[in-house]
Amino acid sequence: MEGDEEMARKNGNFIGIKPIFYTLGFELKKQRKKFYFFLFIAILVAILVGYILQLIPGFLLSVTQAEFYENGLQFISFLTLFAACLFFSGIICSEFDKKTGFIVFPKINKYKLILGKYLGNLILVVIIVTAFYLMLALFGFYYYGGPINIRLFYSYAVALLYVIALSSFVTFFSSFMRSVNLTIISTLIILLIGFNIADQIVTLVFGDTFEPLYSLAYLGSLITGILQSPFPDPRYVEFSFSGSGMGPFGGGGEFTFGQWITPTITMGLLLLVVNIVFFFLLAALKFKRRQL
Amino acid sequence: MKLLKIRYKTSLLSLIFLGILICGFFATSVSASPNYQLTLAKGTDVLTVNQYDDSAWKATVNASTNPSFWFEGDANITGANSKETILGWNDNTWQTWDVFTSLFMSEYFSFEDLITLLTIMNNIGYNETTINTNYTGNYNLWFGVRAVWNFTKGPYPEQSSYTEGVLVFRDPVDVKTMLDDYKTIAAELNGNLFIQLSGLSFPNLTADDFLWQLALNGLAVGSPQSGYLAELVNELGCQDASSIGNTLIFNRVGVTNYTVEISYGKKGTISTFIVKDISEDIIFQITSTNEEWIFFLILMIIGACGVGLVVYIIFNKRRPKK
Repeated sequence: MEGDEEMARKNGNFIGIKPIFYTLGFELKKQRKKFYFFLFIAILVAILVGYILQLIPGFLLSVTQAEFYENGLQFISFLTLFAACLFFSGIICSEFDKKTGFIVFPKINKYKLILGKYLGNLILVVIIVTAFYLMLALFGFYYYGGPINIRLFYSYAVALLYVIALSSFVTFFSSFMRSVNLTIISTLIILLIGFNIADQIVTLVFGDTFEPLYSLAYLGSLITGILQSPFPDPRYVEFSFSGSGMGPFGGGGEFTFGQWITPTITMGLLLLVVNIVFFFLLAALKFKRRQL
Repeated sequence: MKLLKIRYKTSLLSLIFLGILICGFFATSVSASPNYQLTLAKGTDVLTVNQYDDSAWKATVNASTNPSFWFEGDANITGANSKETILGWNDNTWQTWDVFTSLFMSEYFSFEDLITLLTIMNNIGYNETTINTNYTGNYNLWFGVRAVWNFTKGPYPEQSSYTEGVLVFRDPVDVKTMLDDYKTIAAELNGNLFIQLSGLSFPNLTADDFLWQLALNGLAVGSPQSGYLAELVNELGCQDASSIGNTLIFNRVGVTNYTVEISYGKKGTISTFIVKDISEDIIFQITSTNEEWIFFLILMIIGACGVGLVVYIIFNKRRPKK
């Protein structure tokens, strides 16, 4: 008797999460073309950076495997950024846009729908990032032999966390924006240009006294930063160059350009998690208040 | 008709472009080297000490040294590994000054002595301009860069122990001219009072010494390796060195006579290094391996899986649905 109850409870649970799986499967099929495109781009970039570029004899191969990965991963922030903006922008706002809330007898709970959509897109973006890392790891193995540097796996873990953080940011925007296109454009502008400009201004004004930990773009630099051995210390560097002879009377001056290389591992991971929780909470609150 | 013309034009254009590409490809390879081809490839080779007999070494080669004298690190421990990564290369032309300073002076003098000698040479009129004016040889070579991890029994450190040049002379005949020029300049300089007062002198090198020094310090060979090595040995007129196939053999004298056999692999770099005593017993052996085959195996597996998947999808789509 108790066994039957247990079985019934399990069945109930499964039936409860079944719509999420259906939505997830549907989303995977729906985003197929976008996924193929990004997968193609990811593999192409990995081949270009990891192999084609190395065919030029005068272009020196990095001395260590970790440096090779670090150079190859310079594009990962662009890839994840564009993928996140294009895959996650329609998660919530497309429902408002298409007025699915007006369906009189909805077959699925709206939270399950959003969760299914989110997980579907997340799986696709994770596969794209994984493919990029796999290709790069393969080329690293070709040029340097085994074993694969353990820090590549750390970097992969940070990249996944970064993808989730980006997705939470885009999902948050998707929760209050009116259309998908608007969400894509606004998130792209903020993530691609906004954060970088803000970082530059902050660094210019505050120098090494204020670390731009608010910036998702800066937190993303941990993906490549974690590959460096030893870990960068100091993490704030200044490049100085003199402009002698460039002034109106042949004089010049000393110019200094500062840059934060990467956050510390602990702080970076912590803030990525904080970002994820914060933006998801905001998105959930906004979604709850906004009538679907 | 119009469509046919367009197609004809497109085909013609494609053929022309293809022709240009093929001509360019061949022209590049033809102009690159009249005799020998470069076979260097970016990648990592692992050198392993397969065998080392310390007592035999001391009784044959030198009582007070071990293989670490030639190869840095724990080369005197059987099973120790070293790693070399070819980072890249470029076409280069050296003049006599470059050869004199890079190949000879840096090899036989310490940094301080080198600075002293260069200062004296400059003061007595043996600077870059005068040497290159009097000795007009231009030597074409492929100058490569490699990162080397010293021999170790444990795991490799993160950063390489050092980086050094890999030299592939396009024409082995040049090596003879280099040595002759060195001998002439060295004789002139050794006769100079200021050089004599400094207490330094340029060593009198034989062809065998020079080839031995080159072999230990980054000489790589062009393809075909056997022809390249034979020409190198013959042109230099070595007495105690010879080549068989892709192997250089040095007959050397230590405590007793011994031979060193250096074989060059398909990349043109050292693939095996063997020291033998008079009775042909191996005292010391290093072999080179790499893991590129695993990469190709993985590629083949991925390719096979891809083809299998495509075939499965096509087969599944064509199968009539019940």
